[in-house]
Amino acid sequence: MVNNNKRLDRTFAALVDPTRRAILARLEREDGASISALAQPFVIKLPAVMKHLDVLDNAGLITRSKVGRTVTVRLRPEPMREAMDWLRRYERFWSQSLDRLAAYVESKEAEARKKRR
Amino acid sequence: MTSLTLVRRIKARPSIVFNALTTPEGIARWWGPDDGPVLVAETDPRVGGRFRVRFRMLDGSEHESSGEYLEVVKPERLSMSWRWTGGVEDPGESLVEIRCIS
Repeated sequence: MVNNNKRLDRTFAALVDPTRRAILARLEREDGASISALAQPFVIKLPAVMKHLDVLDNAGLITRSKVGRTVTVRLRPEPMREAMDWLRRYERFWSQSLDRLAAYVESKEAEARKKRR
Repeated sequence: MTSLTLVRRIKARPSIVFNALTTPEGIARWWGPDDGPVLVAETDPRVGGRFRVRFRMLDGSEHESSGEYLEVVKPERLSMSWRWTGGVEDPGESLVEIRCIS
């Protein structure tokens, strides 16, 4: 399961950067875009965009396919789904459990204070 | 490492919170996301000691997690390794760190 954790690390690390999130958001709206079209809205230079695409590719968040001289980039949503599942699993367990813990210990605290009086 | 931090403001003294976190009687009262029962709660809150907790949710599903206490500083710090062990779910081992800041 170490691989699973490494994959999650890569997914979250890829999502940290706003430029990469903007690229993913665009790929979610459009089914496939060329690299030059993806680079167009950003002030950063093409090589910088290519580096971001490498990070996204390594995290499995995009695929690149070459036809002739054009590289088409597409979204690959599976790693994000996996990341969501991870967050949901822990968030659900701990968020609800901690609410119940808080209610329980606060009633114990009230009890203890009453006894002291 | 991917991590998730949850914060709760609790109106109770840390020793009460610590007992609720580390005793079977305490764990039985809050462990699990809904009001389903805790079926097994075993704890040995000292460094190297283990815990195992099994609970049933209101939908009937049962879940179990276990691990090892890595840091036990009563009443403010508790760390443990954590692994879901009972069913099909096994997203690997994680680390749970609890800090009571008063």
